[in-house]
Amino acid sequence: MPRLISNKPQAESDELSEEADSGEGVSMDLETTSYGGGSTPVKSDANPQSRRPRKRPIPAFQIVVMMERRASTGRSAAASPRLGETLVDMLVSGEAIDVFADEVTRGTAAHSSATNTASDPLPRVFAVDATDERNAREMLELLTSENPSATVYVAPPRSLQPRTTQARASGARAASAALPPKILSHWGMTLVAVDSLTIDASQVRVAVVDSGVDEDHPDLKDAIESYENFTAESKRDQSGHGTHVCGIIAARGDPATGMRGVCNARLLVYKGLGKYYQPDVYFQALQKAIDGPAAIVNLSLGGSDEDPLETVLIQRAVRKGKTVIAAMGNDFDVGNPTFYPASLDGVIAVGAIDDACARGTFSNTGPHIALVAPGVQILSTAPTTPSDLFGKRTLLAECDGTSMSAPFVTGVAALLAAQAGNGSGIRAKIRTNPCPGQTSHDEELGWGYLCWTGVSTLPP
Amino acid sequence: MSVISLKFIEGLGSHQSVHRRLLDEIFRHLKREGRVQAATVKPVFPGESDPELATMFTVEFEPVGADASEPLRLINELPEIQFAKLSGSRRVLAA
Repeated sequence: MPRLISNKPQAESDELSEEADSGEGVSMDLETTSYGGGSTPVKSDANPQSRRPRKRPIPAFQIVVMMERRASTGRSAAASPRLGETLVDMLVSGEAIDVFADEVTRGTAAHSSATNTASDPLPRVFAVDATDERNAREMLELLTSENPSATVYVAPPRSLQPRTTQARASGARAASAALPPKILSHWGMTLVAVDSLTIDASQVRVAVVDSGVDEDHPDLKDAIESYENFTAESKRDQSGHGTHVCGIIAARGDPATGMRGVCNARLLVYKGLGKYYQPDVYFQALQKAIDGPAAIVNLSLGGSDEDPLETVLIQRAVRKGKTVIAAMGNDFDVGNPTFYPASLDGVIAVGAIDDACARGTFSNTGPHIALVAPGVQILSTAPTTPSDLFGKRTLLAECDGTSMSAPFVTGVAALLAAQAGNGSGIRAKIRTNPCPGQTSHDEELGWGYLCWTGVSTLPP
Repeated sequence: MSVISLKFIEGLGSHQSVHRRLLDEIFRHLKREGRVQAATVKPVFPGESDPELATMFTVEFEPVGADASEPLRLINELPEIQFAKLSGSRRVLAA
């Protein structure tokens, strides 16, 4: 019996094919992966499927451990560093796989005649399944510490693309359930096609009026140019909301292990919403955002009653040529009221979609909606200390809401401003794609979903 | 607690402090008549020279009973008023 699968429950083990010879002890520092018996190499099947589990459950996360090999010299094979104990154990139990095992074996077999393989060897790459976010974090930490010479990261998704040929899903959760795992992924960044852009927006300033920001967050501290608190509360982002919003726009972290926002714009953050709403405090923060140097203003906030003072301030922003982006609201299930400031003239109103490009079930609709952007299960920065929104989850957390959608548009607006060299006329440059089944502007999805490479631009 | 957002018409030459005194007067009157329990008049941008901003005020008050309409009606009757409305609430929009 193959020892490789002996740690799996029997039912699952039965699904697995023979992967290695059994034996005592484990040696993982050989060129060919050996799961026992010291020098016995892995069987190299012509069909890779036959040497891997036929039915591996879809993991919530997958962690990649990548080790560069040293190119071979003379007669010695390319060498890779010794593997950490946990990784070895997981390979033995089948919780990890050696991604390029076949190529390695082939390369070794052909080594004498295929020196190019040996001189430019593939890295050793192992994929480790994790069951949930917590498990993924723990595994990431452990594997990183035990494999100091390896690059260890959570694999970002590559499978999510707009499913333009698929019928629109009826609801966010239902649609999400059928999709590949995406937790700890940045599916929104992939959908709007900004995850591989290299546009430098560091000269663009973006104003965020919100619940504040955690200035100490490692992924945000370099993005924050200024932070003003208009409330009587401390500067701390007790809510956590503003920290999450800021991360979507401009976090500077590594997307493999943290948060990288849509752009690298500079954030001017104005805390205008505290635990209790005070109109004058909000107006002061809003005015500072509007009259300050930022070309773009993000308002992931709103309410169902118009406030004429807010209207005057927004009109002021529009007169100044600022791009104001606001969330549509999350009250679809409670009467779908018109929200302000999203519905004010000149504001780009953003609704939420899930990863199937279906409207988030909560996302308000209305004739004023300009477009939709990712707003379901959005991963971004969370405060470094417990917060109202995320509880004890710190540093990174998921959140739903049109609040999460607006900053995607804001980030793209900043990229466009950087590209154009100025912040004027941004609205007409924002590109969208139609959502599945969509043929024209509608009150659920506006002009479609935000996409850097979209086929249309927003009308004036 | 109710809050009224209001704005005076710009260009009438009145200073922010004059507008404030006028509002103070109204709410002192309402308090004397027992229609509000307490009130705080606030220029949104104190000392602001830009007339558009300087003419913006909020009034926080505690109406007697639940009726906030009387103070609002009185303010809207002022000829200098551009608009007055009960403030809408604003909140962050995480679902």
